[in-house]
Amino acid sequence: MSPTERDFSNRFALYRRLLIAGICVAAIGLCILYLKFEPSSGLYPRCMFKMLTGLSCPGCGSQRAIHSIFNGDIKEAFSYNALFIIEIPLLALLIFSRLIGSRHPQLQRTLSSRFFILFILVTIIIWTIVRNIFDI
Amino acid sequence: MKYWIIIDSVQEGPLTLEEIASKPELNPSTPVWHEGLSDWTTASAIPEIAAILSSNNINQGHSRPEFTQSDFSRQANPYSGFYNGQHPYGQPYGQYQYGQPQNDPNAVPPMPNNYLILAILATICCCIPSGIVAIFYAAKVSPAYYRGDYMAALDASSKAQLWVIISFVAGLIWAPFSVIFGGLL
Repeated sequence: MSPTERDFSNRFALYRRLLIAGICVAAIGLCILYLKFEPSSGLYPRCMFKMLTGLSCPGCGSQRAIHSIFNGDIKEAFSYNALFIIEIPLLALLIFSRLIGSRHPQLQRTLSSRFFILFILVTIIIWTIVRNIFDI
Repeated sequence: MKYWIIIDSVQEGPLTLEEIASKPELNPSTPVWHEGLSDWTTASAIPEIAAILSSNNINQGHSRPEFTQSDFSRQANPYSGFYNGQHPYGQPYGQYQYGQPQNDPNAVPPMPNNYLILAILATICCCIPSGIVAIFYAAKVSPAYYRGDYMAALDASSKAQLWVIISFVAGLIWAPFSVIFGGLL
């Protein structure tokens, strides 16, 4: 392998590490933000969809929900964004399936099936419509 | 995903999988590299390129000037047999380990990532409808893979990845602006 080829692949490996480091720093920063600051402080990023259309997106309220969870109030978190709270165990299951999925092929297969994913998609769309109609 | 290959000591890339498939010089020991690999490896060690190699073997004897996606799915390809849990080559589905040397050209490549976790996170965190598009493409990966159409599965996978990246980049650019103009001012 020539030196240029080596540099080339090393550079991408470096970018990858920098990206992972950046994500870790951002995650820690956000945890501090949601733990220490109130939603009313104005420091939480605003929703693009809501600012542009005035409608709630499927994720609106998740930051306030995380703040509530960090402060131990699941009920309040549920009132901010019910779908987000429901999807936490779902995401945990998906991550679990990705990590040790090779030992549970049937689980992995169910979670990647068209029916299951379209069910999630339809749930998100119905949730968005319902929350905007009933102002949840 | 883009690939770089070395043919006759000349480095070529970035190439798509279709472009690599059209190279007549491609053989199992051709050096290949893609983003995420720490070092160059051989064509046979990358499942999706090994899949092309094995389909080229099947097509040998015919004149095949062009490799097309429909050729790939129409031929009796080695992935179609494991749909009902039956595996034609004795390697049980699910025990395949990515990164393990694959010198057997008939080895079944693992299912391409459907990016479902990131797609759901993008839909919830980035607040733009592009996350929905990513979930839509995530749903197409598994059916195409189990149908035996590996190229279609790979295509859906890369589209899901693209929309996840679009969502997160848009969200990351938007977030600081929204704090400055929405919250502080």
